[in-house]
Amino acid sequence: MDPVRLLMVEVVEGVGVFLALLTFAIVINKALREVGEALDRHRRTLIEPAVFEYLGAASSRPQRDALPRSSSRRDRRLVEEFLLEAARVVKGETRDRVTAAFEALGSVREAIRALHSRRWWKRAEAAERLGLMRSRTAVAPLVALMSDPEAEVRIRAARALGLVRGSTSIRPLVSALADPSRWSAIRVAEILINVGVEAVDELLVAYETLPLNARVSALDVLGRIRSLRAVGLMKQCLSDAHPDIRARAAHGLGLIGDPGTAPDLIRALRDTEWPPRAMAAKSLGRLRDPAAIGPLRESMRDRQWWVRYNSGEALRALGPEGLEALIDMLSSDDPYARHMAVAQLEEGRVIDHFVADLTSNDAGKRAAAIRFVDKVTAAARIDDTTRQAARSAQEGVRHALSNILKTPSPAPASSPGKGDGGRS
Amino acid sequence: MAEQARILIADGDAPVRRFVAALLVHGGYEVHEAADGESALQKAVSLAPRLLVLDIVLPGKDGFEVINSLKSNPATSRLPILVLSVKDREEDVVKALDLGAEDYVIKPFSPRELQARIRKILERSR
Amino acid sequence: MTWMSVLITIVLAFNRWVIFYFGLLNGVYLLLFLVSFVEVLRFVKRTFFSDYEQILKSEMTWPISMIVPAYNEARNIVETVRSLLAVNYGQFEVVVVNDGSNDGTLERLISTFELKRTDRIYRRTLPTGPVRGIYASLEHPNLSVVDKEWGGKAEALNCGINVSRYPLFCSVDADSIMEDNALLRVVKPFMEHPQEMVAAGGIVRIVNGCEVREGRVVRIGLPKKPLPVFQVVEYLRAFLGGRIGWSSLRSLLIISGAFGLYRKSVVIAAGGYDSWSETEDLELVLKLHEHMRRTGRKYRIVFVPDPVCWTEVPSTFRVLARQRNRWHRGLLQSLWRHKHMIFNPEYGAIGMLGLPYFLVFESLGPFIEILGYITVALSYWLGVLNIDFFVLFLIFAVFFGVFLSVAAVLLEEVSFRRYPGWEHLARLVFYGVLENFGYRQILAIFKVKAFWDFLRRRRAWGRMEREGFRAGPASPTLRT
Repeated sequence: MDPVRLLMVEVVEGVGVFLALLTFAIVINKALREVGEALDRHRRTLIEPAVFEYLGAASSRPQRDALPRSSSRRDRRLVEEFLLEAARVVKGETRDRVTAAFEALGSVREAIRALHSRRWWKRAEAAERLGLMRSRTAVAPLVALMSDPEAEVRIRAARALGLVRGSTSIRPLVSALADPSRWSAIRVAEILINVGVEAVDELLVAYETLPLNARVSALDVLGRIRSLRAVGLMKQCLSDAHPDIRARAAHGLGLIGDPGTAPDLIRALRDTEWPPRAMAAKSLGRLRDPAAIGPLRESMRDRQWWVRYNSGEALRALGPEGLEALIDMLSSDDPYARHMAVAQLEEGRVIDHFVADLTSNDAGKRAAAIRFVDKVTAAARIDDTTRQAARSAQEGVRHALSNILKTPSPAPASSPGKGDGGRS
Repeated sequence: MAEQARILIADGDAPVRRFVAALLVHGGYEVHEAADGESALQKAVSLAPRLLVLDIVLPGKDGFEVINSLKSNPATSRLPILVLSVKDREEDVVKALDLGAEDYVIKPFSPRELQARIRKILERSR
Repeated sequence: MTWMSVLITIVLAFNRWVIFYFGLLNGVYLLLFLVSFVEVLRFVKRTFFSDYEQILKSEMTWPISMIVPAYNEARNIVETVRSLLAVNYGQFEVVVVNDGSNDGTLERLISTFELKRTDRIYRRTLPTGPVRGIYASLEHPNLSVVDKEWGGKAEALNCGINVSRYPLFCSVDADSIMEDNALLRVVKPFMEHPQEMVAAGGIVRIVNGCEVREGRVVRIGLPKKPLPVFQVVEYLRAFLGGRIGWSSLRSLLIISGAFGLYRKSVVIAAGGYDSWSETEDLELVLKLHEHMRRTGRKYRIVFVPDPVCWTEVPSTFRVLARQRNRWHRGLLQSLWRHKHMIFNPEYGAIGMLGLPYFLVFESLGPFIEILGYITVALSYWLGVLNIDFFVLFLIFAVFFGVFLSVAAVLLEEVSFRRYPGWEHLARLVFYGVLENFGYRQILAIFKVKAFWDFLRRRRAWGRMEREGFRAGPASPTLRT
């Protein structure tokens, strides 16, 4: 009748046909996939023994010289898939054979070609594969990829280089510590940590040439690798002009854990800046040198919350003598030192211990416990009031309270409990 | 090998599990797989394997819990367990062995070494 | 002119208008669907081998605070917390906020996890009602429980944000079940674009009909009752065919309250969650967009097209009605609150695309649909209905609806395939067809009712009663 109606009929028909096709597509898609998967499983069981023999994974059988050649694309894909699985979990001689297999199969060449793909995720994937393949031939192309415009691709290239190892692949990683993006630099640092001892010499050689932020990362990496070879550099850095370097070095020395460095760290407790002081305290806790107890007690009176916190924690880590020192700090004339001592004793469950002793049968223990709890409550009460004083919005109230307590009006930055993030 | 010893593999990572399974099949064992802690426990009872190759990182119940439950169940308390895990920290290894695992192999591993260890455990538990 | 002829003119004009509106709406749906289709395929292609293990092992991975608001969850809180503590992730903490429960939720937590009261010091950055105490676990150093007086879910979340320690927080419903690698999946965009990322959400799936053991889905299945199956198809359509598209158009408006990952500093700067809102999750995302647009910095709020968690949906009409009523009122509240952003080019895609869509189609759509049915009846009564045309139009409408539902099932089939069996596929397609006869119309009625309630400013909380293994207040999960 009218054209609009005809048009409508046609549209409805069209949509109907499309719907039928769509349903059909769903069914076909599912069926095809299931058949394909079944076929893959079948072929795989046939291929696996040959690949295992090539890899020499079973000692009972002789090693094959060549992979079975197959013209089928499915077989090739399955072999490659299988080798990638193996590459992730296998080490030792078998691992070298996996790399050889990738080279023989042409997978390495193919992946290197894919590094030039226009799509960034293809480049990233190729880099990822090359890392697993660990072929030395890929080092140069991967180094070139380190200047890719896409950050994610650069990271994957870096990771691949870290997996391939060898000095030629590590040097570009060390210079990548200077990447302007902080995040990339952090991830590169992590890759270097995973590389481990092999990265130490490259880092030591390159250290002087690196810019400031990269130096900080390099010290961090060296500390985490825990190589004794880095101790010399770290000690030297404790008197660097820049406080960040001094702090990182102090931290690194704690990670490395050379007991001979305790005197240097004790000296660093008197640094002019607080970050190196805090890190030195933390590291002394790791070294567990009893000689540090005296200086750490002094640091419990530091103006900075973090220094006090780390010193308290370090004392706790120093065993019975350290705890003794903490208990002794409960009667300190410094309210902040007292507060920190309470907090540390609480966290170390020492308080629980003494509270349990309150009902002990041993009169001596009981008396000791009462004395202890008295000290804690005294310290905590005074502390609570100072905390209120520090928090009060009115200058007058703050002043009056601190007068009563005969302590200096606290600066907000160093008031207990306002140290950034609490006890994080 | 005269008889095919039955081995159960519990690993949450499908490709890894597949590879280890293939490796052991190649080594002449009868291999069964479990993808999480719960099903590992079930299959340890229902299949009565000679050995359990167990990962620590498992969905649901983790490897430590699995060892614990297996050791406290009289039906499975004598089943030898070989832990195969990426967890390489000292305390994890010690914890697993203390809980009653027979052996601990860290991933990545050498296939030949793994097979030798498995052979040894099976001989001992015969 | 009689009043009759005036009525006829009005009805005819309205009918013409409805046809235009309908055409536009379906055009938009189709477009969104195509965008989503391309995005899903790209995503599936891009996730080559999972590098979750590397993210997991990395010491540099962002630590996450999981915040679990709990109001009368005694029945399953212990199981939920256990499964959260067992989550596959590097550094994380679990912060449970007991929102003045009176069913012993807190006591259960205290006795199971050996909780001890502490005087943890934290900054009250976001205002909340009085906190009664903070508890820490001796057994699990990364578990803490905040006990506060009742103040609603938004306030509980804010309180959790205050107490949490890490730079990212993840809101988790006490009754939703996480996928194994959920945190690793949603944190990935934060690793890739650390400077720009603000929030991320993922696909929520329906747990009805699945087998759950120890807080994990061990066998996936479809619900037996029809009503939840309709919702399965609806969720597929909404998530795969909608949100993915919106996300790639940079105007994602909804991150499900059941599971979302946020950058804490930005959420705090935007003012946190709002108690006045019926759907605080939607309101938060809108506020984040507004805040970021105002600062003028480049930012991302993304949808990860990867399943992350499972949630229970209503299985009775009564509860469904209440749930949808609340969601729709929440949407209307937020649109009203942010009306200055709508069609405002200063807010970019969200102002020119996302919000107008929600205003014109999402909030008014059901209204116009129902009015359409009424005018058709009126036209018939007035004798001005072109029956041929009407029937054709109806067939077209139904076909198109079926097309969108079935296409969503296809999308699931080519991408995630969480429903493995052939019988699942058959039922999904069947219900995809069926939902256009009745289910949709009923939802439209619920929404019209919500519109009415909104206008009357009725703010009764849509409580949700649950059956089966879990009970508790529901959170909004779905809307396209």
